[in-house]
Amino acid sequence: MLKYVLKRLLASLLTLCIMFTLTFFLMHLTPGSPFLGDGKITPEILANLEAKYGLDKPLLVQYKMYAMNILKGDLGESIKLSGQSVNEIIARKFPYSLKLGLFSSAIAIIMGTILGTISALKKNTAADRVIMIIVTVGIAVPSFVVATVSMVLFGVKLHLFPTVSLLDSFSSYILPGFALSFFPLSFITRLMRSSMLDVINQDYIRTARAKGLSERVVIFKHGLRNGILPVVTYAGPMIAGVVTGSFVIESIFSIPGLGSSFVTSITAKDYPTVMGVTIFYGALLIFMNFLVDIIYRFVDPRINIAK
Amino acid sequence: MSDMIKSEILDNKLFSPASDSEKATVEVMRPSVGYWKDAWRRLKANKVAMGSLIVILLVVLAAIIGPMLSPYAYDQINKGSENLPPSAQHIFGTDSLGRDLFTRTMIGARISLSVGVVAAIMISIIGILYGAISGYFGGWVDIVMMRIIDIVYSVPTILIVILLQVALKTPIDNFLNSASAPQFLKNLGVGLISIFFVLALLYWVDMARIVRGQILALKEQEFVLAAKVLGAGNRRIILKHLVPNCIGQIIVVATLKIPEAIFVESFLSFIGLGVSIPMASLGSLSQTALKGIYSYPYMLFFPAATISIIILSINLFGDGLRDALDPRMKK
Amino acid sequence: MSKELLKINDLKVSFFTPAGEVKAVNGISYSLEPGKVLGIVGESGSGKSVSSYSIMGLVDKPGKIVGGSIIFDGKDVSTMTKAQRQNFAGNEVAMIFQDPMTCLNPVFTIGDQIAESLIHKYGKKISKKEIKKRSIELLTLVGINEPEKRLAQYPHEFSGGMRQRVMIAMALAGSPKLLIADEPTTALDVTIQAQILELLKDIQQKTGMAIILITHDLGIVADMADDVIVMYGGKIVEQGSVYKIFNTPHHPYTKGLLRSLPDLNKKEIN
Repeated sequence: MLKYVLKRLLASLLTLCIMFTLTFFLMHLTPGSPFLGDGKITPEILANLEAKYGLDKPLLVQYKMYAMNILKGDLGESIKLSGQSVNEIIARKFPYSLKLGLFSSAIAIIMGTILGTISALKKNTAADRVIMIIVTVGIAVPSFVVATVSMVLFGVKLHLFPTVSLLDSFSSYILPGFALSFFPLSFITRLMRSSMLDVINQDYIRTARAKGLSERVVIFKHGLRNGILPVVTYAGPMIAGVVTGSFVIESIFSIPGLGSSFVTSITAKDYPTVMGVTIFYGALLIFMNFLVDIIYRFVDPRINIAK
Repeated sequence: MSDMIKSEILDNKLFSPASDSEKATVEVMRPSVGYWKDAWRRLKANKVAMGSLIVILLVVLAAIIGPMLSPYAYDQINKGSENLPPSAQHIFGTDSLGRDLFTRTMIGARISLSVGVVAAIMISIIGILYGAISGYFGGWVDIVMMRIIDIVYSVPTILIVILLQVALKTPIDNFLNSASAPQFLKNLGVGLISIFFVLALLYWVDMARIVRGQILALKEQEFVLAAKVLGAGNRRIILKHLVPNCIGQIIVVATLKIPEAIFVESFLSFIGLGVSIPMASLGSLSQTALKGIYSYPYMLFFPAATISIIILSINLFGDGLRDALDPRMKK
Repeated sequence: MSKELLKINDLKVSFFTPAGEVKAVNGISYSLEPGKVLGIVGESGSGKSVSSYSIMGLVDKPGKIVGGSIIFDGKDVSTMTKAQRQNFAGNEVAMIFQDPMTCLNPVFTIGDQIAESLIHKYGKKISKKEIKKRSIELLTLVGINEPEKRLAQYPHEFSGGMRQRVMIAMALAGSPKLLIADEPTTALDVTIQAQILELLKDIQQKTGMAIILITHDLGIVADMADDVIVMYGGKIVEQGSVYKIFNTPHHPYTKGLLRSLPDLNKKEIN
């Protein structure tokens, strides 16, 4: 087990390094300077500014410098928001994205599992059909459509929930949380349905019935425990994706999260911020994948001895 | 024991051969049908898939001839008819510059569909070659190639997509402005070309995995050995013998990649990284509509509905196609 | 109190498929005395499994018992409520199946799965210590070495034969009066088959429970059964004591079955 954890950790670090390098060169190979947009900058000031941020040095030197800083946990200083370190920006903005992301993930996993199970157990009934229609639509409608439609409908027309959200009350979570969770919820429902349909036809379910266990125990202990395995696999990358992929939702609901500032810093060529956020998000995603791998080993004992 | 049970004990009358008419009643064979014909028969029986196919064809038709029938050009600014609601003149209404939204939505659908199809083709080519090489050669080639796939899988796709999109814009722009750039590429514009690049670079992994899995199973079969014995080279074995044998699954994955690509395009256009103005895509139309969402919700409705219908119908059709082409994959 | 443990009278089970009603079991009657071994033989689709599943209430949709009665120990199984049936299954009648590789739940330990049967039998009041003691006894009874260590292991850590032993232990946990064994050895290697059959015989002698042995292997029936039922097309074509069936078969189908057995006395000409 320990050997496996170490191996996975090493692989994760390698992935992180590659991602870091890729991001660095992608950003820096792009022509243009972050300072040119301001217009009235003289060449001397430009040179000074570039010297200040180390942009005048050869690329490899910059790479080395940056890598050393990263190892110290220092993500550098924002070029556009002078005086602010990237660490500060992340510390200030990420909690919003995290809160919203975790809320949405929880909705998606809980609701998806429940709906998928109901759908499987009530296969070909009206309940199953309604659920399947909703989630089929849920997979096809982009999140920005869900977000705007629900904002107009429940926020503007019906005044049920706030449309601008600082995530300071429960009701302010509802609309962005729903919009963000609709796709993963639909996906998990479908995943859970097909997995449960598969499981309830397995021989060990018949064994459990033959033992005289009640239908509740048969389905919820023996069935669910096996049926949920694919959801566990999907949940890790999904949570990371939901937490990191909320740019659109954040900008629609004016949530001051990290996603929206990532997009603005890209267009502004704010190298350190872009790099910092990418590495931060990358690390998060890799960590989630790692976590799921480890958790999976506990949920599915069959994996334990393999490899 | 069995010495006792000699054949004379058995009454032969009870075991008389079946007559031809009796045989006919248990005849379960039907005339053998080819793979494609069989798949088509299964697909035709699937009402949802056929309905989706009709919807897809209608949308494609509308996207192709819609703008031609419209009296307005997609970038034509009509002074004095800004922000009009749907009417006989402008059936989808007009935007804040007085441009006809029907024409723009149809142009947007055209862009989205072509992004989907072109991206799916590029993804398939890369994925098939990568997966086939990895699966066919096996050994360390496979290990290294699979590790690379693992890495591509574990990077946060959306971040890299955005980064790539920004990074690629300038070099492509420079190339397009040079004299040697072909005209049709210039017409496409920087935004679209970089979207193709991004999709091709990042979304081939599923295809590669599936093709690899298929090839791994297929390459052990006798027909590959037979081809080898007959002196066929690796290239020929892969392209003529192995890949055609997993064509069913390749088509299914490629079909399901179309909506995924459309999704990414609309997302990028929505955050302002996609097609360049005055070109319209369904994502950028939705984004523009967002600014006036309180006063003119219909501006969002049409592009949003179009994109949802496109993705939904292709998804459903792809599911049907999977059931038809490979019944074993059915869930 | 009747002498019979199980009495089945004119049982009919049908499957309602889109193509129409399929009469899987078409009016069979038999009875079984306590402590006896009944072999049910027949080919695939002859209704031998379905008839036994209906005793346990395990006939799945679209299958349905459409007629007849099943009396077990004086109680009518077919009129039982859900709760009564759950109490009945496992405790009065237990069952083991064909493929031990898929019959144990892969995500729970063997100990958990045996404990489940014990709790079902004795209720929640049974202590953890007692469960462990009983489980070890059961595993020892079915011939599993190091039972204490084995309890904490998962099904995938057991071989096929071992899993079937675990299945038997689980079935015995409820101390049933009848064990239904549905092709218990079909999926196993020949040497393992013999071991499992020995085990079943041994346990049958120790516990005195009755066994219904469903199989298509006449050798097994000859080895174990007291009485034999031959089924074909959802009907019983012949029934009687094992000696009667093997020595003086009447029905042509039975004769055919017997004739298909390989004969060690005859020299093979090849």
